[in-house]
Amino acid sequence: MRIDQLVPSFARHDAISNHVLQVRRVLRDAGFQSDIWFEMVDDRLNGEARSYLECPPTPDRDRLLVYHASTQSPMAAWLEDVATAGQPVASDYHNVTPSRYFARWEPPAARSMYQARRELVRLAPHTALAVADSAYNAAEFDELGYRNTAVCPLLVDLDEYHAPPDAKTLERLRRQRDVGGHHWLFVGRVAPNKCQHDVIAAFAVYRRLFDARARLTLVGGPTSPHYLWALEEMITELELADSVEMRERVPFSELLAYFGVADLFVCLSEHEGFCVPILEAMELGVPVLAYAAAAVTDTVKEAGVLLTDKDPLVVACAADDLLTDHDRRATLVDLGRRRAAGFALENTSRQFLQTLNGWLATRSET
Amino acid sequence: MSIDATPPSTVRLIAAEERLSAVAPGYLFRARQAARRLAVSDLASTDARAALAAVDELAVIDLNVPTRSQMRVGRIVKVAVKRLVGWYLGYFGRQVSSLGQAVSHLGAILVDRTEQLEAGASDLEAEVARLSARVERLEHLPPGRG
Repeated sequence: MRIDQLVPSFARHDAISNHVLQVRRVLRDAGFQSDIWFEMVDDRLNGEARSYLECPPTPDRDRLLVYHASTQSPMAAWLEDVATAGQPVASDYHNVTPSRYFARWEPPAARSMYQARRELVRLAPHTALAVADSAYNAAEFDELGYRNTAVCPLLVDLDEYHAPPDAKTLERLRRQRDVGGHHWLFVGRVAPNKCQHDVIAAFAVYRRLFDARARLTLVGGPTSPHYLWALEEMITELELADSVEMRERVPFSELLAYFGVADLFVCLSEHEGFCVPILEAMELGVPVLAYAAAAVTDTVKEAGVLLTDKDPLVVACAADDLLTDHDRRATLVDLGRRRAAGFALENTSRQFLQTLNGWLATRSET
Repeated sequence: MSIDATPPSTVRLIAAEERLSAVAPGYLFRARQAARRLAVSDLASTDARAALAAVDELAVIDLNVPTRSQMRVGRIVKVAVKRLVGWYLGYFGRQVSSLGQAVSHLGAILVDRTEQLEAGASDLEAEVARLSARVERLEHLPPGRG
């Protein structure tokens, strides 16, 4: 039996691409033949996969094609065609950001997101197995017309996060910390749905009220340059130029250094399909303060502080409560580590394989 | 329940707000306004009025090019280029803004017309349903009645 994966964008240090590589490992270890096919690829990963245009379109009942759905792609129409011809197709949903978040900032991106959902609606009746990486995504997938979507979390190798952090960055950040002040961190693409503007506003209030030496680092490349420019203006307007650092391209070892010095991970995102950085923070012992929205509530559960209001004053006070109550902070760090352990690669790999084997067993019965 | 059971109390929030007003008058308002300006409206993604609002916002071309840079030289170069081409961008930008606003105006008229037609169509549907029910009732009456 062959199980191939199709992923629109295959890139290094990308949560979905890492998941795809881990799934291939799990499948090959379980005795399946398995390859990866892409639409766009990062040159550094070119040897790991091939263009989907080279993927044989002839239907094969002993092959399952797994589509990783997260963006608009001509792959969806291609899959629709081969599925109509009798090829079994599965879809693994990682979420498509609702277009309304981008309509104001990046209209072409908004259009692409709108189209992506339409593509998924068309593919739904042809999908034999639907999988999503959170209960939130599964509910959305069902709304798009998929049936009995199974939940299988993203496969993330959390052991990799215990590699040594970049020494130079760590030293620089420790020198800053020695001056005093707490360090807030948020990791995620600069995108309107991630609401970095709310983090900046809350941090501004926190700094004025509780901790004049506090610092905030926002790590993530820009998905929306216009939104990024607006954030830069906001930082200047609120007189935060010396205390807020925005890092676009951060190598993995430097990211580990930021987690290494962070006192608090603040996520005020409104739309997340899973939110891997929350998992990273919990694994690395950074307490999480988050806005209870979309899949964030499920990812955090009881292992962090979840707020239903993200007014700057509310977030600033909640952050202060957490940072000054050492017992509570220690409890949350402990709960976070335990929550992250639940997403250990061996657990998520087993869950993925069980879902797949369950479907294969049902299929052979019919 | 996974939501944190102990969010900041109202008393604490009021005290914090009073303290902030004393040390930095108007700062909380400024922070809230800045965040609100960048927030996304709650309208649905398929709502024509939401799309029109986006066109409306984008129709005004921002001629104030960002000049922030992590390198000092980068900032100097950006400021210089901004000043050099300011007159050209101004001339070009005003025309694009006018075009955008004309398109937005057209969009507003079309959305209004569509909503009127939709309202008219639903009135007609209700009337057809009412008449169909009446015809059906008449058809089921005993012969010689109705």
